Amino acid sequence: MCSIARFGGRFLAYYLNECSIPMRVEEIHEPIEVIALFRRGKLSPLKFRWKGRAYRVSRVNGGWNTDEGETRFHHFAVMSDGPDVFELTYNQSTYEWTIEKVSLVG
Amino acid sequence: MSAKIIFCVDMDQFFVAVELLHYPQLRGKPVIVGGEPGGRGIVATSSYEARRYGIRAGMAAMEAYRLCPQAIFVHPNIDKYVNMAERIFRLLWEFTERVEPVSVDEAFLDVTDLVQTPGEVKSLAMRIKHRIREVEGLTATIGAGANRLVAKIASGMNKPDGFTYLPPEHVAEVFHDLPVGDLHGIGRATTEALGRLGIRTAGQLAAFPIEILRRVFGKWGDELQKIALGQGEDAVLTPNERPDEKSMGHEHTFDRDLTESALLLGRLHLLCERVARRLREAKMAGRVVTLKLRFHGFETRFHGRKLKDHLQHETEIFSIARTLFHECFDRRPVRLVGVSVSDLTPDLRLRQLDFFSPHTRLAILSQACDEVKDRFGEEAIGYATGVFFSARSSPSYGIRPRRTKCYRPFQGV
Repeated sequence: MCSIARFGGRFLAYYLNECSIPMRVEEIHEPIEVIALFRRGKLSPLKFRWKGRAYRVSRVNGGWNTDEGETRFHHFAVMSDGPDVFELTYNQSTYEWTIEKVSLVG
Repeated sequence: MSAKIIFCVDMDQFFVAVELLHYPQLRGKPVIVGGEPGGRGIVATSSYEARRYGIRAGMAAMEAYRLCPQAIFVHPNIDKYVNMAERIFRLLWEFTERVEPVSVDEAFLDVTDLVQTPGEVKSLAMRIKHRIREVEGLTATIGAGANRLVAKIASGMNKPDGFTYLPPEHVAEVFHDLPVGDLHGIGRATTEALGRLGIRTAGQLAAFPIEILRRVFGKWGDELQKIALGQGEDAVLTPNERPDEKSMGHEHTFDRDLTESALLLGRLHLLCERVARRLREAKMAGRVVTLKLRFHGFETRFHGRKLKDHLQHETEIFSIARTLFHECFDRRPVRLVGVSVSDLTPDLRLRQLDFFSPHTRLAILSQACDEVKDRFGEEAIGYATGVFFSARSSPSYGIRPRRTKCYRPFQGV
C-alpha cells in the first residue's frame, strides 16, 4: 500500500496511503530567488520565484534552524495562494535560498 | 501554603502539534510521527484522531498501520522539535529561572515563590498556557502539586490543553483508585510483581504491610509505598545544577537483521565515533566500555570491560568494543548494536600525555577531526570504514548530501 522513495540517501518524509491521499510531498532541493524581509533580528520570506513562476508568501507556518558546522540554515514552511506548503531554506553562509520540498494537497 | 508548588508543563501531542503548525492541511486527520509503516520504526507521537484507533506512543509503526491504514505517517524532523522546545523553554524562563527540562516536550517548574494561594496557582498556570499558545500556537497541559510525582500525575489527568492542581490534602483521595502502573516510577515488571501480591491500585499499595513489601522488593519496597502515598522529589534542578552524565552511549537498530560481522563492526565504529566526540565535547573520559547486542527474537546481551586507563578516542573505544563484539557475537542475526562508555571522569585528570606516545597522536588526530567537524559539519570527515559499511548496511545513513546540492526531483510516490 505504501511506497517509499529515497533521494540521495534521504527518505521521502511522508508515507502515504494510496486509498486516501490528503497530501503528498515532493523533495525538490533546487536553488530559488527570494525576496525576504530582515527586521528586528528576524528573517521572513515574502516572495519567491521557482521554475519561472513567482509565488507570493501569504503565510509563514513556522520556521526552524539547523547547523552544519559553522553554517546555519534557516528553514521555513510557507504557503502561497493555495493550500500547498513549501519548505524554503536560507543558507546563512552563502546567502543562497533553496526550495527543499513541497507538499501538495489532493 | 507551606509546601512547594511544582508545575509539570507537558506539551500536547508535541511532535504532531509542530507538524500540524507547519502543515495545517493535516489538521483533523489521524497523523503519526514515527517510523515508516513498512519498517521497524515505532510511533513517537500520534494525533488524538489517531489515538481513537488505539494507536499509542511506543507502538510498532507496522501495528499502528494495521490499526489505522488511513493514518498519515510523518517522518520525524528532530531539528524542528528541538528548535520549538528551546523556544518554549525560553518562554517558561520568562516566568521563573527554576525550570528543569526533562525531555523535549516536558519540563518541571518550581513556582513556590510566585504563588501564595490556590487561586494564584491556577492563574499562573493559565498565564503560562496562554503565553505558549500566543507565541508558538501550541497547547500545553499543566499539572501542579507539592512534588514532581504529584505534578506529573496531575498533568496526565486533564489532557489536552488542561490544568489540574492536586493540593496535598487531596492527593490520597485522588491516588486511591489510580492503577499502580500509572504511577511515575513504577514500570511494567514492578506492576506485575505487585499484581502477584494482589495490589492493583495506589490505595492498596499505600495500605499494604511494609514488611512484606520490603521482603519482596528490598529497599525499593519503601520507595514504592512513598510513591503510592504521593511522596516524591520536590527539587527542580536547572540545567546548570544537574549532575554530570554517568555514561554516554549510542545504539542503532538495523533495517533488517544482520549476520555479517563486517557490517556490524562498521556500524559499531560509527557509534564509537559519536560516543568519543560527545566525550571530548564534554571534556570527559571513561574507563568502562559496554557493548549491547540485540539478536533476532529480542534477546539482548550486554558485555562490558573495565579498563585501567580512561579513554575518549574512537580508535581506543572501538578497539575494546570490537574485542567485546567478537566475544559475544555467535553468528545469530543481530537487530541492534550499541556501545556506551561509563565510569566517567573529567579529562583534566587523565594521565600526562607523552608527546611520542600513540595516545598523544590520537589526541592530535581527534582534535583535528573535531575542528573540521565544528567548522564544516558532523559528516565532513570520518573513518572510511564507518562510512563504507554504514552506507552498505543502510543507504539512509550514508554520506548526507550538502543541503545546497540540487537533485532531479520527484519520481512518484
